[in-house]
Amino acid sequence: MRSNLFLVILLAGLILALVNPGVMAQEYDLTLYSIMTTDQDFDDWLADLEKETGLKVNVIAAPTNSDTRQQKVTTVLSSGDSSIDILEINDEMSSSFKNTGWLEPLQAKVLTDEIIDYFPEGYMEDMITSRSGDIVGVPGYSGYLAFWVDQEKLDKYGFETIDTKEDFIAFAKAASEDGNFGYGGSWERTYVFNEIATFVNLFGGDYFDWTNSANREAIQFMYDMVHKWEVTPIEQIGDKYEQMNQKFIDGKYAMIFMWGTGTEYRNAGRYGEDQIHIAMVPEFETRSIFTDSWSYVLNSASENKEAAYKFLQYVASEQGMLSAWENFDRYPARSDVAKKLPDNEITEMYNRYSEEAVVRGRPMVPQTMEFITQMGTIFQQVMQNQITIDEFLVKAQGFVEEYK
Amino acid sequence: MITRFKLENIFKWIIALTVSFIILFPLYWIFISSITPAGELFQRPIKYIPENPTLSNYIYLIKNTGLYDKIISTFIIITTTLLISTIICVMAAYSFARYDSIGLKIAFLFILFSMLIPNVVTARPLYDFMRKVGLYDTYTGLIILYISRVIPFTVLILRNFVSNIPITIEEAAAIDGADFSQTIFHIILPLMKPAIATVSITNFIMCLNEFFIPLFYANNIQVLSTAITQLPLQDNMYSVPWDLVSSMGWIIILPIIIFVSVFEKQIMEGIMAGGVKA
Repeated sequence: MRSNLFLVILLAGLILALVNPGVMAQEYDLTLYSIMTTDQDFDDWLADLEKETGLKVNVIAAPTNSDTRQQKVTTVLSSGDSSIDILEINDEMSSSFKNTGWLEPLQAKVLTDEIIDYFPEGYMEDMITSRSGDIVGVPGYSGYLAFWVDQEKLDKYGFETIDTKEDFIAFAKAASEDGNFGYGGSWERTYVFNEIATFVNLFGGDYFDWTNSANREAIQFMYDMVHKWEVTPIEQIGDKYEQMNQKFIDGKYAMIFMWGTGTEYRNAGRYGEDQIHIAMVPEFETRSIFTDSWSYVLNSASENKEAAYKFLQYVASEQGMLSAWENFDRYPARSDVAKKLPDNEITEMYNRYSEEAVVRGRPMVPQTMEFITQMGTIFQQVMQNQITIDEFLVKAQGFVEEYK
Repeated sequence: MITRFKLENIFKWIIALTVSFIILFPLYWIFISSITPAGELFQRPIKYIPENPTLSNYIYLIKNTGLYDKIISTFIIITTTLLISTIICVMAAYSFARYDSIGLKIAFLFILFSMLIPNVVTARPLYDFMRKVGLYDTYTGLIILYISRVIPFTVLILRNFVSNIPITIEEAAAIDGADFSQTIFHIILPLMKPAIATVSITNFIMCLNEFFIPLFYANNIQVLSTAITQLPLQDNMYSVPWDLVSSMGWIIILPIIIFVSVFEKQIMEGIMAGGVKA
């Protein structure tokens, strides 16, 4: 009986395969490879885009898992596959692809002189401009590795703001009691890269020059946070953002650096002026902050370039940026559009970041993931006293020379 | 006084419970993660029963990830693969088991050898090939690749099974006047039923779990296994939405559990039959 059932199922599948007309019956102007397709407002964003451009867009869901996505995108681009026209890529992929010739230059038809100045200059130069000067991507938004504080703890320990290095240390020390810590990090070996680079920037160092004394100060500072002042736990070398955020929400930490606009804290009922909120990044030697983005790029092998330019002109336009903000909560990469957003604590702080802080793209190399992993590994070793800070600096410089 | 029989029973129960716990606890953990709100997922101390269980993750996935299309695509690919591969493999297994020549031996070794090549090694040339012959992102192309994926294992199992069927049965059938096709369809195939059922079920699970082929050789045709990598990124674009990942995990696991429950008898018969004859 069950064998027959099995056979019936098999035959049903075969019949379905024979009669199925396929999924590409409809004609499209271009194909978009996007990470946002499973967002609940993606359809609204796409409807806006199709209405404004008149394009019919075929959408393919890209993996949101970074390793898988990078393998697939590398295969598509390197093989000259023309089945995908527009792709969304992150900073890591930009660093890997911008000098390969796989991406079409966009300065002539999309990022023209009229709008290019509205995009963050440093980011554009660092991340999506090739060695030959071609701009190969349109940033879809601007994100910041923002500074977040727990107001309840600020009030409890009598701090109004954390504006300087001294404030930072004093608050971290004060808030480290009863099993809680003043500072929380995500020091898993691939995640810690952002924080090492943040502290290097705050101390005025250069991530690609580990002979720089400011870099040493930054690492010494992070080491002291763990071992001397005991304001951050060594156990966080296993933590990614999920664990760090949960601890922050649970009140284990008083301040952290974190991407995004605080959705996790809102969802947990911990967001607000009197609870967890975004704050101005403190000034150590400098007041630096990292920005990131996902950029839309045009596959050089595309056979639908005119349609693709139209698409990219839309996402780079004011309307396109506002649509991304409304549907995906993506803060516009264009400064002129950002100023038109309704005022709230996030937009206000993002505006202050762009005006008052030194905004930088993250230090990426062509083999970014390998570089990040190596640096994270030796950072964890120094934090666990397996190597000295001097040994760390020598090894770090070696990795820079190897990968840059 | 505890008898030796009772002690043995207690020992068996301890082993059974330990093994069950090792197997079932991860499933339980994925399940409770799937019904736990994201803000409570990493709470300390760990909560083994969610305080605020919710089905919102499942509802989100059903609404936003095109599950229906993925299920249909998966069904089409897997059933066709199973049907065609079983026919091919039964014929191949019979040939490898009953005939002897250098060519056949080399062919069999080639099939076995192909099991040892990691997918990623052949990915790029195969990607180019599939595009050039127009099979990229088509059901036909995917089904061919799925079939090639299951053939080595299936041929190996079925060949060993056929080798253990006494040749005298076929000789007796021949003496009784059965021709070759009658021998195959009326003698050998009925004897192979437990083995065919077992490999079909194993292949079904293998196909359902197959990740690399649909990821690399298709864009528009999407299946359940790749859906787990296509979940919405969090606000910060770097965190993994573990609540949704867990829910999607359960959606993928569920058909396997149902399938194995329905065909449990055949699986056990096949395994035991293979075990005795080997």
